[in-house]
Amino acid sequence: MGKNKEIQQILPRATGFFFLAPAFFFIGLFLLFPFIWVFIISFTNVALTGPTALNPAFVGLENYVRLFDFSRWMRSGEFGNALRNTLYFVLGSAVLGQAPLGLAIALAFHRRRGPLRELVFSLATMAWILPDVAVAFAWIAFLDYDFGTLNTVLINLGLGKIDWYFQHPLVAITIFNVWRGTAFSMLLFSAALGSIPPSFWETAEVAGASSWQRFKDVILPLILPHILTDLILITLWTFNTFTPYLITGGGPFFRSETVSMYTYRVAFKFLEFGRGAAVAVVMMAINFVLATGYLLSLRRRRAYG
Amino acid sequence: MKLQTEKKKSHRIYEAHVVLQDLTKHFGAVVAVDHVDLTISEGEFFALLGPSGCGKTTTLRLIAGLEKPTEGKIFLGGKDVTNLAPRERDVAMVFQDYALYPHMTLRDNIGYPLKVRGVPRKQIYAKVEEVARHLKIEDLLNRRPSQVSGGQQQRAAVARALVHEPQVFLFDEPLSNLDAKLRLEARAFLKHLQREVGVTTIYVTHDQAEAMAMADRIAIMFTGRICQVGSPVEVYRHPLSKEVAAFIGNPPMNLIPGHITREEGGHFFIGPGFSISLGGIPGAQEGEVFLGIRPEHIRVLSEPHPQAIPGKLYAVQPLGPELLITVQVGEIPVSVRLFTDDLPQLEEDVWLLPTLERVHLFDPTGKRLE
Repeated sequence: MGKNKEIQQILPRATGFFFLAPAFFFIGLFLLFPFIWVFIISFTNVALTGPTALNPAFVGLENYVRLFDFSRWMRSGEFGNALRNTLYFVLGSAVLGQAPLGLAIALAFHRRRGPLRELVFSLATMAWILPDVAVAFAWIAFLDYDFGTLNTVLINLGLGKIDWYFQHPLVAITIFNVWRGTAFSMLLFSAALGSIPPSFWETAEVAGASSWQRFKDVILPLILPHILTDLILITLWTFNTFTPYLITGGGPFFRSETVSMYTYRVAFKFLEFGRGAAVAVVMMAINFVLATGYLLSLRRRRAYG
Repeated sequence: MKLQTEKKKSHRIYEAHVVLQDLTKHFGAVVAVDHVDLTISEGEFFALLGPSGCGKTTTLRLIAGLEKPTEGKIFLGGKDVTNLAPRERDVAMVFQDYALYPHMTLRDNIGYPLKVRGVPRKQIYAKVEEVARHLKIEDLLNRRPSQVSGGQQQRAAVARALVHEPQVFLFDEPLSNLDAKLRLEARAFLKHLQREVGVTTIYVTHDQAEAMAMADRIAIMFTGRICQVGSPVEVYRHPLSKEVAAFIGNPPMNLIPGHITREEGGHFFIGPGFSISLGGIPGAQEGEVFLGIRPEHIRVLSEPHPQAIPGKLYAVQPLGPELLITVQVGEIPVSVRLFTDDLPQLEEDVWLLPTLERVHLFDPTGKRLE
């Protein structure tokens, strides 16, 4: 780290800033300014229509107080409800879904080449990179009560139909998100496993370790930093994802409404920008905590030198 | 020091301990190991020597159980282990990169083979201390691999192999990551240690000097096949093929193409621009041959001699205790080693006088002519 001081300047500092200026400008315009603006209007009652559209007034913490009004916040359609749904959604689809499944696939195909690996990796990656609207439509068709593929399969297995959107909307979008996002964890863990020298587990193998011991004693400790990175990143992304809205619309009766959908509803359906901004600020605060955790874990990764 | 059973050392039984029978390994269309038969005695230090890609590491991995043979059988201590998993074979392997776990201290690294066998922690640590004391790394046990030197890492890797007292040690080029000085030290250390613990050792290397220096016997492999097995002195003095002759020794044996004619007074070797009498070399037949002569079996003369090969002086390299002289004979560079530290006064024209008793002849296919 101390070597940084020795790096020679190839350009005068001023010239460097000159080249950076366009980037700073756009970052300021599209990231910093909206951020500050959202923060400011979260303390106002500005809306798109109605009397406060033209004459917004500062309302202090009223928007925040309303968000955290604990007498009603777990009712359906309220912030607490959305927060709880988000918690289940993130835990279910990212922490318990994508990460373990991605690790399992990566382990299963570790040091194995061949058409099956290519097929699985290609399919998973495709699910990850296809456009939101296309996959949302596909899943609406897949989960449809009467004509959906999944129910057709279930019927043929003699298990009967399930009304996914009505009975288990949160489960439906959780499964969807596992399908949608596992590729990232799979690719990350696959690369992490690939970076472990083969002699590491071969030594353990010859030394007499069982597969479980090899995983627990050698592989897991070595990829632990990657697991942390993965968990924090997918938690962040899942927390913010909006695609499930295209499938359930947050319904029925807000039973699958997550915080990002709640923000959207308040800001762009009710067009109450002030209130929406307050939710957005709370979301940003949660993101900030997650991102800080991520950066800290990255720093700790250098422990083994 | 009672690391291993003393009895093994005191009356070495030298019975067949590791037996490879018709061992073959294919990787797709590539034949990595080609019908290898080997018998290695108990307590023996056995080197598998060959250029990279010759199949020596694959052979070692087959013995370890890390690869499954396409054909053939492997016996360890009289037991057929061909289809057993590595953990059931009771062997220990030291890899080229040592494979010490970065997240464990040296103590936990060395104790790992005992830990996976369910040995109680107290016993593990006692055994680790004992082995570490023997290898003089007992002060480093609380450090992580990244906090010790390459030589110490190597010792720790050996300690880990030693700790569970395996039947057979397998070494895969364990010294190639060390610098030249440490490598010489480690050679002596490993050889001494092996003598002391008396465990059958199979040692893979591409460095002929390493194999010569350490092994009781050497098997030389080319393209998946074993060309010759013998003691270091045997393979050095009596190479069975041109390839072996050219692989062993530093610099390797000089090989001069030519042919043998029979005239009055015996056989003559006709080389590029010269002819020398082979006199009473037994078994010399007319025809194309390679004349092989080791650099130390040549004298350099500054005047013509009827039995000498004329050449042009190319370079003289003083190496301290010896001189390495390169002479151009026709198109062929011939190396000569002189055991002197006096620089000889030589003109451009020199004559090389081979010691006839030490001359080797190989037929055009590379086979030794007796």
